[in-house]
Amino acid sequence: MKQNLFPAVVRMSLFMAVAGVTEACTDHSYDFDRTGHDITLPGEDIVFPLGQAGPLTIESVLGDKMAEFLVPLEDGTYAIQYTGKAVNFAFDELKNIDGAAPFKRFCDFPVNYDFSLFQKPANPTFNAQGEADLSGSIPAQIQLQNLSKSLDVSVSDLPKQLASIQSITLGQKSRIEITVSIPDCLLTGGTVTPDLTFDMGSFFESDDFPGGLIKINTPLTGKNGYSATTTIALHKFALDPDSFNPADHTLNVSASLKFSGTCAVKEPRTSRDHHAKAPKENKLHVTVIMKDITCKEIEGTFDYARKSQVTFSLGDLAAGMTDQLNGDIHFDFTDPIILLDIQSNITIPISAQLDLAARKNKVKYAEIKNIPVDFPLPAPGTSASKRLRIAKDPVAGPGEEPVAIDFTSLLEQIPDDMLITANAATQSGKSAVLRIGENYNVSVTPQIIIPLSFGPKTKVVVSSTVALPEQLGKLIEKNTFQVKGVIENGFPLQLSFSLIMVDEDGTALTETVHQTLPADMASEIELTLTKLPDADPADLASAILTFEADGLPEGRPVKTGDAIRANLHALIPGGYHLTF
Amino acid sequence: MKRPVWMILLLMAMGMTASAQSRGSWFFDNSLLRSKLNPAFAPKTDYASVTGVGSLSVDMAGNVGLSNFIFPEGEANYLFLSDAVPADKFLSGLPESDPYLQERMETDLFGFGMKMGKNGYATLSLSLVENGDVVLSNDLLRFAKSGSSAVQGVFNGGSARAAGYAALSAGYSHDFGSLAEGLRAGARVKLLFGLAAGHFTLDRVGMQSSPEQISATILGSGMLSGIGYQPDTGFSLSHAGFRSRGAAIDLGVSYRRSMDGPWALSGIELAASACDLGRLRYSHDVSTLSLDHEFTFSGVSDFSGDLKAGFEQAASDLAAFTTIDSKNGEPFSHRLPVSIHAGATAWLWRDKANVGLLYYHAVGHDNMMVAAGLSPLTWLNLGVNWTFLGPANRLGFYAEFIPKKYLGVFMGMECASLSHNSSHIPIRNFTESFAFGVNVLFGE
Repeated sequence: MKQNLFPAVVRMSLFMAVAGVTEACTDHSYDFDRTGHDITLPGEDIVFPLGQAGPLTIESVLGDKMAEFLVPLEDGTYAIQYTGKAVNFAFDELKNIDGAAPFKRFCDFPVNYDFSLFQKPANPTFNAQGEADLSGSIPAQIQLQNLSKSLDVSVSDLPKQLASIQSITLGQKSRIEITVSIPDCLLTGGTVTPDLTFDMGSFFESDDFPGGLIKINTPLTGKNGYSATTTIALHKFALDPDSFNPADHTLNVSASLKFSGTCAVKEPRTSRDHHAKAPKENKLHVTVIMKDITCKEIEGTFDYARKSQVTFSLGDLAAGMTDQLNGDIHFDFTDPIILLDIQSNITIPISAQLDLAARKNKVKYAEIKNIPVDFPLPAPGTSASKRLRIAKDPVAGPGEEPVAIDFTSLLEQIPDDMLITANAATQSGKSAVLRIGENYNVSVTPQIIIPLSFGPKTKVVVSSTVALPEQLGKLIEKNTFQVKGVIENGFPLQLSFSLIMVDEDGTALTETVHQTLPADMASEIELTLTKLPDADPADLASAILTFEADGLPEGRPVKTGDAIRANLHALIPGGYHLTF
Repeated sequence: MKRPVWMILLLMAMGMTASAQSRGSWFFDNSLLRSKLNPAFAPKTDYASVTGVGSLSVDMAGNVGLSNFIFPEGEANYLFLSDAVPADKFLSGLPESDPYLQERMETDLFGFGMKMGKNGYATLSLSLVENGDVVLSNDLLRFAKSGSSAVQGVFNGGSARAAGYAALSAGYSHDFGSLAEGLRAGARVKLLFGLAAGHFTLDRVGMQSSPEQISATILGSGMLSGIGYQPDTGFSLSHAGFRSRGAAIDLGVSYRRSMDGPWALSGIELAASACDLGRLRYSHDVSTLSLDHEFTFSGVSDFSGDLKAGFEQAASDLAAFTTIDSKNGEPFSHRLPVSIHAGATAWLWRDKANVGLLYYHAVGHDNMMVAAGLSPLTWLNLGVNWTFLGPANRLGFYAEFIPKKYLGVFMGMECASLSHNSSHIPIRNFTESFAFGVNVLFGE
């Protein structure tokens, strides 16, 4: 019995010991089910960039609509610049000048000359084929007599804008056709070669024959029927200034056309029948005829005046004016500038007097008269432009023509429109070239530049709402969230910067934190966002950044450097807490 | 039959409750296990291991434990990254070198051992082996705990390696008593069949946060064999297979001299071995991993823009930051972690007791063990040991029930941490060894 009991006691004791040791060696304080799930990375702090805000500039203050008109000036200030649509002054009277019509009378009017050539031999000897050799009967060389004809033309109904004419440049097809022939020629064979000189005088000018002497030497044969035509392009009518009478707009032209020369006859032959029908005397017949005379340009002086009136609307600018602009920022009407971009293709020197009138509801409330302008003078077929800088004390830039006029009264308010009246007239005594049929036009593009300065009641509130990522809600839930960084306040005013985070409905989730930003300097900011007690950071939707300014030195120009720039980063003291 | 069952239960309970030193078997000349440590050692009896539990051994070495990362406070405990854990408290407990955990696990699928002739003893076994190691960056842990925006952190990110293979081993031990009485030498040749392996090293991890920019860089590379990787599903063993080859050899020698005093000294034994001299060449389903990314975030360009989109883009970039790129790679070698043993044993009282000293190098670390053992009965070995040097000091026990025939059981364990949590994770130090085996004995 004792022997059986001993092993059982030993076994029981051993198991109790094992169980006891096992339990004694288990330390439940390290059990995972007791482990907290919050950790922080890294231990000290974590900082990360948020980004840049701005620059919040004067455009932000003015709003998008007005910002369209904002332009920087060379002196570093801002101005409102309104560029009107180009207005056109059409000079239809010049286009409608038809200088060609009177001269068309020259066309298709033949001038004839006849020169004696030779007598028909009475009884030539015909061979078996009925053909006779006339070499012995007709001289080989014939001297033609000199012939001269006057061409007196009176052209009336010339354009009334013409004060004088120096020349008329003709169209491309304008020409003289000279036909040399032997009517009812005795000859059936052989060649008659004229050597004619045609002196057109100084009236007609052809670039092909400088000096006006035209040589004609086309052989006349049986093949061309003893008739040949020579065409000479005409380029210009050179006129004696005295030939034009400006009083009755008539032109009296007297031109002299002269022919002289010889004819060479070679191997003349005739047939029996031809001999029988031929006249007793064969003549050389010359016909001069002008064809398709058109007028391209008239060089001379002009006497022309025109009054044109156009308006350009400032409706967009007027509509862009806001109450805020009126209060915060105001126009500096003490030194406005008007830029007039004038473009012209009129080749006649024209001076104009411009009248500028400002209107409100179609009622003229101010007017500046007699602004002298010389239209730019382009070369024929081109256009030229110039810019007038009209101001009280203009400082003309490159390519600008200063016009010193005080027109402050025009811009005491933003007009609905401005009326531009141009009294244009040619400059007498200055010769010019008028292109016939040209669409002469002068376009004027006005620009109004009004410097900006801060007004007496300036109160600027610029607010920006930014959408935030959902993860930021968790960040705020467990962490104190600091926004730090640098804000450069380029405005000459003290700003109050505030930051708040809100849910989708705009309900605040954090307290609003503020910091004052001194004027014209960069400030370091440090804002600590703390969750409101009852707020659920999971609802975080956006943050509202607000810059508010009050009190400003009146009259200080608005400068291009006036801006707020923020460079922000987030700091999480103690590291980023998270739960896994 | 009842006694062996009770003894098994007792030994298992001892293994679970305290530590038995698996290498404690070194000092018992009839131990089955010690032939695993030195191929020159020959068991006294023939055996066949029980499939699955014939010989299971686990070696773990680390220089940290749970107490390095979890800090109790009242009824709760906190991770080292918690605000409740002061930085000094965590940092003072960190080892000077990078925290590491190395492990090796081996189990026999089958094993035989038998006498061959008058002087020989042969063994044959097929085992599955897995070994690996993980190294963390000490600097990275320090930065995570106490880093600040004023510090730019650039660290070696650590590494992880793991390899699994099967080893077909054939060993032979021979008694060279004709040359010198008590001299034995043995060798074990292993054919290795690679299952899967993975190496990954984070060469550099860097990060800095500043008001202007938060930036991070990561650079790493690795190799896989038999392991698939997809960015969205991660790692998987879908390509595993014993299709890579390798070889290794274990070598050992022992010398025993019987004595008759002085005192109660009945004999001494000097023995040494070097195991796992070899390597595997993983050549199947090889892929190369690379991790080379930079991340910068300078904030959103304009608050008036889409801030939400800007941050979400940054989050997307950050997600891409840890994407591992994988492509087909070249075969690579995996060198087995060599283990070296050299020990001296003195037997007392006609071999019924022993004291010994054992140096061994295992899983990358040098260790020194002193041991004392009792063999009160011919079929029972009981030992206790203390290991110093190495990753951590630890106490060990060894027990072996080894009758001449029927069933033999051995169990050994050493551990540096006597306490653990309820999940059996060592608290003080992860360094542990465990060995357990059940074998059928065929003695006379």
